[in-house]
Amino acid sequence: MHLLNYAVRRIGQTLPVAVLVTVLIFLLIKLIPGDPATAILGDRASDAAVRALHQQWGLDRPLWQQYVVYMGNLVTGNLGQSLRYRTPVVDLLPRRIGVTFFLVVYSMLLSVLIAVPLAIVGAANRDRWPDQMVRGVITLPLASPAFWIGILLLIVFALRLGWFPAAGYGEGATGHLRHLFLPALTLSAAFTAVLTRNLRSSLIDVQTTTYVDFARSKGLARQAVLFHHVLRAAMLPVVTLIGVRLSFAIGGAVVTETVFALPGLGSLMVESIMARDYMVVQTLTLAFALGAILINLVTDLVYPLLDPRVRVG
Amino acid sequence: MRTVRVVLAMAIVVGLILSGLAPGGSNATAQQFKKVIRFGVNREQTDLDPVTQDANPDIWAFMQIYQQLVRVNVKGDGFEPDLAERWTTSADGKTWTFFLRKNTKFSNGDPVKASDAVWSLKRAHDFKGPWEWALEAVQDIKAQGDDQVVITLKEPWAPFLADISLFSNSILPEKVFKDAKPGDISNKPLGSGPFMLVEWKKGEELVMKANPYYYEQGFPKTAELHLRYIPDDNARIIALQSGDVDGIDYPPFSRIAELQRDSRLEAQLNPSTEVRHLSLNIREAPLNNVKFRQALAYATDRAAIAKAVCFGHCTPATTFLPITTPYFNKDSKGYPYDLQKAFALIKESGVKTPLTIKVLYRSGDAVQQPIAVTLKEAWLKIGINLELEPFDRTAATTRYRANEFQLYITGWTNDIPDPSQLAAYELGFTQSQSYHSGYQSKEMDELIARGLREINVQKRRQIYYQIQDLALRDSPLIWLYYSPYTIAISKKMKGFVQMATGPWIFRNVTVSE
Repeated sequence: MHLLNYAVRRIGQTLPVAVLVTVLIFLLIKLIPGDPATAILGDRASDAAVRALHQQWGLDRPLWQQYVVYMGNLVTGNLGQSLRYRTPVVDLLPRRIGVTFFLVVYSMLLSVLIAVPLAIVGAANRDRWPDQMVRGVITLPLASPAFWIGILLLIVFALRLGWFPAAGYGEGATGHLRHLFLPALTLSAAFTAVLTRNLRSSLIDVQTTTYVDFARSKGLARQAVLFHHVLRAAMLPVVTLIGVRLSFAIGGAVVTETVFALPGLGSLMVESIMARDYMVVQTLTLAFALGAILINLVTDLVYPLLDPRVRVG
Repeated sequence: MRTVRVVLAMAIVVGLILSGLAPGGSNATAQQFKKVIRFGVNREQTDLDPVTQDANPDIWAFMQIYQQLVRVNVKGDGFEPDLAERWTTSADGKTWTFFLRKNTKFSNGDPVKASDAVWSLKRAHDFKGPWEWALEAVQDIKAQGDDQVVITLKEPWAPFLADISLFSNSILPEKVFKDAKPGDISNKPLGSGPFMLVEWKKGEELVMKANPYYYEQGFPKTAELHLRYIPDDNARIIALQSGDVDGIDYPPFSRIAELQRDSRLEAQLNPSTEVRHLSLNIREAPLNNVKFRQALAYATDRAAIAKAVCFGHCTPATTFLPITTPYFNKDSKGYPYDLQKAFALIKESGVKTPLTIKVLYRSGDAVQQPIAVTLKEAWLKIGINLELEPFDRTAATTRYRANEFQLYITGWTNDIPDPSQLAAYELGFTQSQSYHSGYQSKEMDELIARGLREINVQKRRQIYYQIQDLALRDSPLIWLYYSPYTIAISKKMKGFVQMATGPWIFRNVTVSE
């Protein structure tokens, strides 16, 4: 009940934040030099055609009027029309959301699947050669740019070995899993390194606590101590990291989506900014802001589930 | 330790399962040829309306769906029947009658009628857009029965067949689009061409299937055509090399040699109408001085630029016309690289050096950036410091259209196999302020007007030779090089052709398994 009240209070606090975000992004995108009409009609467009498009889109009105129209549409659920695709923004989103959501969750999963065993190996063999090898290997993805990792994976696994496709999203769940494996691995690379290091440190800290000593002295098996006592407690800072990472994951997915030609939200955002597709940029930015707030809320709510000593609100 | 081994084994098993999740990359069947052509493109389609769009990705895509009354032949130097099986001209050259084929249908099964052609051409004529010049000589368009389209011109018009073959004059079904919602033509094109649109995953793939009603029996030879958007050059090449796609456009020049060495692939350098140039804003000093402009032209090492940008695959430009354009003057010497002449002209011009000039271009552009850098190095030798102004595509276009530049790196491809389009656009002020250079010349305007009206081929040739000479003399632009189109395809792909004006022809293509 306490958690529920806390959640409701936090959701209520998002409304002023959301309004502030709409004002900020509306002004910022309009300040960028460049005219969306010429971006869409091209170099050879006549002045008359450019003016007609400005009129059609309401871009010839004062900025405050344009904002009022935008907010009026937003509260009635009208996200506007993509200037570039001549399609309602709402029609562009479902597949894109699916792609990015799939990619981000897939990359998180891979990060956890790789980081947890590596961290356990490192923590269990502290300062011995397995630990040093883990710490050495994980610096590589931290030092390498994502696009370089992506191209390397493409050359080895798509081109040389032919195990995975080189581009695209595929069809059906198994198609998506196969097409997104290399992109997800690319996206997870740097975060896996960070997660491994953090979890390793956290495991080492928890292993030296008195309640773990007590569990061992009770005669519990090593695996039982590790999974029921040590790992669970060590996951708290990891949950924070995952929450923060998810908030930024969409921005981080841009490079990966471009290299692997994935039609996700990140690539849509970049292309829309380049084309000054105002409605798409405004919608996506608002969605990202709200998404970040929601992820932070969920992260806060997970803490007491992991550790009953933690209270929220 | 045992726990660690278990966890690691689980991770390996998961990875192996994922790698075996789908069938192998090939959709091999017992057939000899594939059912689908997959072609990777570097820019996506956004709008498939033939009247409003001027971006090549859109044009080259909807050219698979639409037809015109006549079409340009593959070599790009003549015309052949398309929807019209033949045509006649009146003795005074002002009335053209096109006789439609009897067996053509749109992909929804409706027959193509003269009324559809009239509606489509009137729409193209009335829309104030990038192609309104193509029907500027037209006075009236009407249907005569279901199978004759009669077009009356204001006066005899030399490039009329070229103009009517332009993609903006594609024939659309009047019944479907006359009262359609805005955006329907852009998003749901429907034509009588070899392919029809079945699915458009925006930002990802354009899926087309064979038009079952296409009039040429046995065509298209492959049932489906997928244009797949892969913007990253490296990823697009890898997709081709791994067999994910059967062909790609615009592999960078830097990778052509590597692709030529690959025994599975064919790298093509197709003759094109592409020419790269600098627009000079001649409204203000020092670029309003013709001798100074000529000096810059002499100081431009076109061979070095062609080498830097195209790795030797481009040809230094000698006139404003692309090489493959009719009436291109192959004897013109243009401006050879000559620093002595450049220095002499600067002295004659009275312009004091050293001085700084700015060049505007699109940031991150793989062609424009090296051009800017190479020019900067070359012009330092004559005391010109070229200040680079990279802007993103949209901002650069906006500044260019507002004439807020001194030099602007840009390029051109012909849309019709006739010099009139480029001459009017680039050197006649009305359409584009002469590529926004501000160039206005009564002598040039008269020549351009004569070129449009002179029917005699030899006389017309001489007019365009004069236009080329005058353009060089006045130098409102500096023409840099002619560039081929780069394409790379699998050797299993046969019958692929790219026209000199750019559009791909896929109706003859097969891809063997």
